[in-house]
Amino acid sequence: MTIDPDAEFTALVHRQSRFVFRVAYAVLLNSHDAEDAVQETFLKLYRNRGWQHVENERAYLARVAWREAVDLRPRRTQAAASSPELVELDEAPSLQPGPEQALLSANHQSTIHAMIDALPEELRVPLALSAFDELHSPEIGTILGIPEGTVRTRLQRARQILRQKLVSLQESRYA
Amino acid sequence: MHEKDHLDRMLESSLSSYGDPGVDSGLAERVLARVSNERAPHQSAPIWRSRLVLWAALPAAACLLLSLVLWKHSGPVTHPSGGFAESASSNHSSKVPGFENVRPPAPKTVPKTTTRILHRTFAKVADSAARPKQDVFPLPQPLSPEEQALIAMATAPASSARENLIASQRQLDAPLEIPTINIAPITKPDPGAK
Repeated sequence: MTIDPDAEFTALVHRQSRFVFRVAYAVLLNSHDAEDAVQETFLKLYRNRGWQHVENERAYLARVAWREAVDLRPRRTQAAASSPELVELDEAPSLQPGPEQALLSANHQSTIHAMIDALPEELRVPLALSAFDELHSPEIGTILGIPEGTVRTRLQRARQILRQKLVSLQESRYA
Repeated sequence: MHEKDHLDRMLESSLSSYGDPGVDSGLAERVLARVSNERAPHQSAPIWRSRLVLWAALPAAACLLLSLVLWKHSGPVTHPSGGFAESASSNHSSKVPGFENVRPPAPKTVPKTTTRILHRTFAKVADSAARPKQDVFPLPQPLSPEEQALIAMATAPASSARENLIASQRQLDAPLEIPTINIAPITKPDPGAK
């Protein structure tokens, strides 16, 4: 019994599109750009049938999506630099006022999201990947092309920074 | 410790929803629509290719058909002057029976390119027909004047010719006789006479 490749691909898109979006968002920090990266990722997969015969589907998809987002980022940065209106409409959270101010008008989750956005990319992407299901340090290292020890170091550093910011925010709230 | 656990829970909760577009965002449908748009031109490609091949083959087939029709129904027509076509037709068509009178159409009525194609076709057909085949070679042809003369010479009664040949050989074998040369002595001319 043979499986229709198109049906298999459709099932893959339904199963993993959100995951791929989150990987792309961790790099691009913009929903529109992340969706473009998702579409490009799945288009490339469909063209070369790259999803077939893959052992770790999520790790493979994460790597493809991460590379696609990294490739997409310079183009978007140049486009934003050439049109100032886009900067205002599409401004990245890291350019916003500090997460401390966002805390005043938003709930905890959005505040922490803004804190994650404000992290350097080398810390933010491993942290976002580690939050997804079934992705551990060795797989993250394979996806990003860095050693497993470096992944662990960066994860600890990212969590440490977030915790410190949360503590300082809570202290300022109760002060 | 309690504080750390609370912060960790907050972090884990926020990280689990970080960058999540949501279940009902329609992202998968948009991706599939984009993929199906990409797939549509590839599916129609074979039809496009077959049409292109058909349009490319049509002129060639028309030329071939025209050449066949002209070959069957052509009469003696004057050659266009010079060029490859004339040499090709003179080299091949005169040797093959049935092709002596095959001439290309007049250059004024047929375009030059068509004439060239026709001549090439004729040359190819004549060339392939001129090749000897085991069951029909040599081709039945009337003897040329040179061949007839050769046969007449070979089959003529050889007595007189043989005698002439022997006589000429004897003449060649006989010693040379050189007659004496008598040259009158030079006399001094008379100074008074002119």
